[in-house]
Amino acid sequence: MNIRKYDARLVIGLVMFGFMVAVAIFAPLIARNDPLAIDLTNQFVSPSADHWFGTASLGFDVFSRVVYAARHDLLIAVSAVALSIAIGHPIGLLVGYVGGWGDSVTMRFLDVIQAFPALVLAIGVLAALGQGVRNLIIVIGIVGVPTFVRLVRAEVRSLREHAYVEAGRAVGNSRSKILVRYIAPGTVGTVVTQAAVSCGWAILLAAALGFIGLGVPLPEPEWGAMIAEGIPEMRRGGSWWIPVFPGIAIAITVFSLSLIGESIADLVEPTRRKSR
Amino acid sequence: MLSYVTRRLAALIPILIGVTLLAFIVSHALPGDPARQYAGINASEAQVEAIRERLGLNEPLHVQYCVYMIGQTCLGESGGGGLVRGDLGESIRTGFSVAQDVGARLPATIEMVAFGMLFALVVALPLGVWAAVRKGKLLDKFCRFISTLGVAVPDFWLAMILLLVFFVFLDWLPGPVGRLPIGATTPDGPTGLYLIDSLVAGDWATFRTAAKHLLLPMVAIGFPAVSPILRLTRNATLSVLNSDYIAFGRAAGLRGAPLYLKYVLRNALPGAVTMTGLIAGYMIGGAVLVERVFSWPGVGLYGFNSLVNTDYPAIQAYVLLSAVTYTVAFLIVDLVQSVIDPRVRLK
Repeated sequence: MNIRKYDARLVIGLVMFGFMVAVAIFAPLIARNDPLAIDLTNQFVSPSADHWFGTASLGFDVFSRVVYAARHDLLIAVSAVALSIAIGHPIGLLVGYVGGWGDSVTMRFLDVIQAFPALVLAIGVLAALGQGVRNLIIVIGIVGVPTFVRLVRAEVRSLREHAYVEAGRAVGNSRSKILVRYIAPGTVGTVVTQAAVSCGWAILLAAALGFIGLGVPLPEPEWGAMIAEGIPEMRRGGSWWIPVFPGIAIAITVFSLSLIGESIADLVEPTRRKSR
Repeated sequence: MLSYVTRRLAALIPILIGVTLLAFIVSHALPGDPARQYAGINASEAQVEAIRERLGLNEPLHVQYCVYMIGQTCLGESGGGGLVRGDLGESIRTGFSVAQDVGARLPATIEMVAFGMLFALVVALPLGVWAAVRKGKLLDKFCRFISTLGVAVPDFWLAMILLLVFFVFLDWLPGPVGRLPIGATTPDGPTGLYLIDSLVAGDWATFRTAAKHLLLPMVAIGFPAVSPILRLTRNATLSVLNSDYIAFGRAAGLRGAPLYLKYVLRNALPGAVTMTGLIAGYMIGGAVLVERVFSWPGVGLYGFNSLVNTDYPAIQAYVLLSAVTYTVAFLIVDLVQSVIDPRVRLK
């Protein structure tokens, strides 16, 4: 099979995502204006040489805000996924390996959490905890935990039947050593794949929460909240640049993460490649 | 088979009880005081306190939960109510029974989701089959691009872009005012789905207006569903195309549309329909944002407004409805699969 093609997807994904990360890191160099600067004489100006993406209400420069928002959105998404993994991976390892009633109780609990639409659960918990970047990370991270527990648990249950694990047991390794040394490394591949996909999903969730008004508090820039700013202007007829550009930024970021996730999945799981 | 169904239904009950408990805890942790909301801004502290007492908000939390679940018997009083008797309580915000409120809004959501899923199927099925037939060609690559993009575009953003293009700039379709123009008479009918009710009544003018209002929400809610259905159809079609009976059909001289429509698509269809059902089950409660953009008077918007106004019974009902449609969709999928593949039942 043609391996190069998949590498191309991975490369494109990494370049696009790297670009967004670079935008976030070098925001002060890229943005041409202060994202929080108010300029009442220049409200709702269409894109021009001075304001590449136009201006929003209060004369906010949309380009600068899209650039600076990358910081918030990427930080929230990456931290939330890290949190999901930090909680979900060990739980998945443990319940998958040990099994028994602890496994049953955990899985029923996850059933309950996953019976909620993710957005509904996130809105409720966030409304209860209160707004702010830290709470956003906690909420999105917790909502993402079940995915990792299930994934790792399933992986562990198939890995522990393997001959090499049996061999490890035969030479007298303890149960904990089997889990850490023999099984855990085998779960890393799927977790990394899922991490990329989850990261995209976390950005969408963060943006959705921002769109509703539960995200990063204003006037700090965040993509979802910026799209929401476009609603009243749209009813008045126009200012398309207010919602369009932050949406494109979200699409690029999530698209690149999906590409990365898909191509890693193909690499980790060669049987998938056949159908390509 | 029957024992499998009962086993699966029984397994749902603890999950749903867990859902009510979690929803109860979360909704009561919300900042805001429903009694004060109910009383209005000018109410005195004594009035608010009276309302609090009447709504039972002064009882300890576990008692309140008990009352919600099994009714007044918890307080040692006679009288009915409670979730076990099918009583969802009374909305603090609207004053109506929650069941009535949700029932009035459910058709709007069902209409949007049903047509959205129909749209997704109509787009994804032919494209999926076609992409599989042209595997590795430009069209296949284009389809993969579309399905990756479909996951990356937020539905609420797509909704806004559609409005910008078709309402603000082209002015072909109505703006975000809901299911019908403001002040229009709503068609009476048994289903509550405007398209069907107006069609049954033979009211063409209303049918066309309702269809115009539905078009953009339908696309916005349907587009994200295109990706998974497209992928599934493509992969299913590929495995069908490689099967012996298609090789036989080809050898027997079948080709072109009859081959694809009658033999290939039919085998790829169950998977796609199952996936669509799952997404639809999720969308009933998950369409909050698209409903918000289009001012679509559905259950998602109702749930959101209840949440903002700390309307406990309404939040509970909304969350429960979302969870039920979601888990029941899963259950139906499992049951359908167990009919197709009896090995599933043994697990």
